[in-house]
Amino acid sequence: MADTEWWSPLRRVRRWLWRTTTLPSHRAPLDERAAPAPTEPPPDHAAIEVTAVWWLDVGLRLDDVVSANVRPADAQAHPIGTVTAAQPLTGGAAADGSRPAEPGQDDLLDRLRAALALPLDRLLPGEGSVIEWPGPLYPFQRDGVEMLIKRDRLLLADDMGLGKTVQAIAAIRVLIHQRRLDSALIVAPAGLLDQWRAEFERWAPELRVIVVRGAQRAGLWRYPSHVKVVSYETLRSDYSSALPQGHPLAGKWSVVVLDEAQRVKNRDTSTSATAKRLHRARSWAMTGTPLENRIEELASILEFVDGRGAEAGVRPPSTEQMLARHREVQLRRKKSDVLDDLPPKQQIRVMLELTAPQRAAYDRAEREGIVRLQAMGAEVRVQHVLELITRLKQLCNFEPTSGSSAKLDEMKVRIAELAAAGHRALIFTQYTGPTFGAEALAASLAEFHPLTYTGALSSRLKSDLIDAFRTDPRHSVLILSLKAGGVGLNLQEASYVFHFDRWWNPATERQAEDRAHRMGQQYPVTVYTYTCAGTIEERIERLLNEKQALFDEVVDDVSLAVDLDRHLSPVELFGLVGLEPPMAPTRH
Amino acid sequence: MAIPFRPVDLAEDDSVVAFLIVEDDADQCVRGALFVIDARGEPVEFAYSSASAGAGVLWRRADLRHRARTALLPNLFSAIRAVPALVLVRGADFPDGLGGHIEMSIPTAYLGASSDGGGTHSITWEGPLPTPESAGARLMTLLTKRSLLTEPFERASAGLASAVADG
Repeated sequence: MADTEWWSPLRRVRRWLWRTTTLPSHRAPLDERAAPAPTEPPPDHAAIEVTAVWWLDVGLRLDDVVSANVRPADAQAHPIGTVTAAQPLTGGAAADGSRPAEPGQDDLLDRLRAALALPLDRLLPGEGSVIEWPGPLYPFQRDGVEMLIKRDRLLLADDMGLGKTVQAIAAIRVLIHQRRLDSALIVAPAGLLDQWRAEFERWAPELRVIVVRGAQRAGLWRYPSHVKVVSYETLRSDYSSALPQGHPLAGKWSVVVLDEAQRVKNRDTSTSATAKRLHRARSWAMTGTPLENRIEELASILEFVDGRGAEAGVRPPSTEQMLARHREVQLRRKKSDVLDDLPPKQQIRVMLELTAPQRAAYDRAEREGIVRLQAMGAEVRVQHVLELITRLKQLCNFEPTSGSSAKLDEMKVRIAELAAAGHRALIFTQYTGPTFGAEALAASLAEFHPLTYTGALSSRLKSDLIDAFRTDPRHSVLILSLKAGGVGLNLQEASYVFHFDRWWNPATERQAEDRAHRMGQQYPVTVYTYTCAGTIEERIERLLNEKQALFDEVVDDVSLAVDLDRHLSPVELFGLVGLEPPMAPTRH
Repeated sequence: MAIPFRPVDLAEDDSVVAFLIVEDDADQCVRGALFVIDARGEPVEFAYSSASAGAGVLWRRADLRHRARTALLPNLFSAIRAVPALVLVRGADFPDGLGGHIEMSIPTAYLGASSDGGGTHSITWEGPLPTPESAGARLMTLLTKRSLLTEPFERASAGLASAVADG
């Protein structure tokens, strides 16, 4: 980031923070300014002894002070006494910021810095804060901010809805005011970029925040700012080993924050590798679900937090080592522990029988699919099984010819009741199309003025759509694709959540539910989860329960041993359709 | 192409305020510190020094201390590079004011002891009074609003003690 140094006072400030003026170690005079002529006759011997002034530039306003403040070395008699130099402080920083290692010197500077620094509680929100904040923080949030400030490496794994974004912004703001941070990079899902910017505008309005996106973003990277916010996809696209000299991505960031850090759970992806390659002084990962499927996902996130990459040939740590490190770097608070006044969340599992047209279509598809898989013999792959499972799941949503749907029939009755009472609902589905997914739902629920949020929308449209739902109560229903709308959004306006179909891991579903069940929610949140009896959904549900147990063990109680056999294996996957995998199955 | 700009400092303006402390110790020594902060209380500069009154037989002890302070104060002020808009002094540290030691060309405020045990202090001015639109007046308003009228004295004392302990 050398090209931006010309405008950055903060960088200069940090360099000077360590500087102090030194005096020669022998007896030396103060200069004339320090010793005005006396107005009375001096005594006939030295009566006043003035030790040399030690001057400490703790703030960094002028960058010529050091040379200007060094006293001349030649001794002279003080008019009223003898001026004696104390032991010199020689621990000033070199121009490159490095600090000498003279014994005792750094210790004094450290103690002086600690004594003179504004106490942290005078910077955080609350009475007596010297920074104006838009509102108070919860005590657990203050704890989180303090932890972020003190720790260079932290996995903030609070439950969804506890305000991880606000904690990170408050910590960045305080660190910038303390001159300890001058460049922050926030990497977040594309759908959350505007939310980050809005939260910065609210919680740190004096900071310059640039959202790096769009065709003209090459210039935005170089635009001076305290904070840059970028999506994982843009980061991956813009980062390369051949970045031009001076490009911010090739420089060193004071902090890199990964929001929804489960995006780097797979260490083999280029997104994960890119995030870990960024040069940074601090690494903060934020996710309510650091573990979604397998213990290796946690390992990949910890690699980022620890500033390591997934270098080839480097032996990964053992499970025990990883869990020990996890205990050290994770800060996790659960809603039930810290929010006494958050309304409860009620889970209601709704088991349904398929409608007759659905059952006929389902049975036929399953029968023909299994026959087809069996016919493939040793050639059958996990992908083929997944295709069948997807087809069966879709049929549990809708029968394509007639549009018949047991789930829709049941859900429509519930929505009519809650809409009549003025309540609003979120409906999550993993499918977006007009036959089995979000579009089909929107058409069937038109009387409730639904809005549909999917990954196909531009960032601007997504933002406008969320605003429309929040501000216009005529929209009783917001239909979201699980992938696009399941993370990051604040949708406390709704107090009912429907899972129209099931995803592969419970953490994703919890994340989606917590769009509504989060701070600011005034009503109890009711979550309806639909499962069709005697179908693939029922079998998937059993797997989800097992995965939830793994999450509970590793994330909420890291001291427990982990059964690595619990992740979704080919045997489990083939077992969902009553088959066994061929020898040495491979995933594609 | 990015529009070039130069961001201003995060503080409201560049005005700074200096907190002066002077302490007598049992060894006929006067030590003091000048602690410069910005309007948000962030440290800008810190200078500390001490003056020993020695044992001049021809001088009264009080005179020696007076002379030590007179030597110490310009010593401190000359070390600070920033030009503060205000100097704040605890009234108890200088019962006779600074005027007997040094002539100040910037407003100097003497903080009296809290009259109610809380945050209410009497303030006496020496030197030029800050006009309502001046940087000094703005600083006083901000420092009062942010409860920073007395707290920096504590930091300055802690810093001075830390430095003295180091020898």
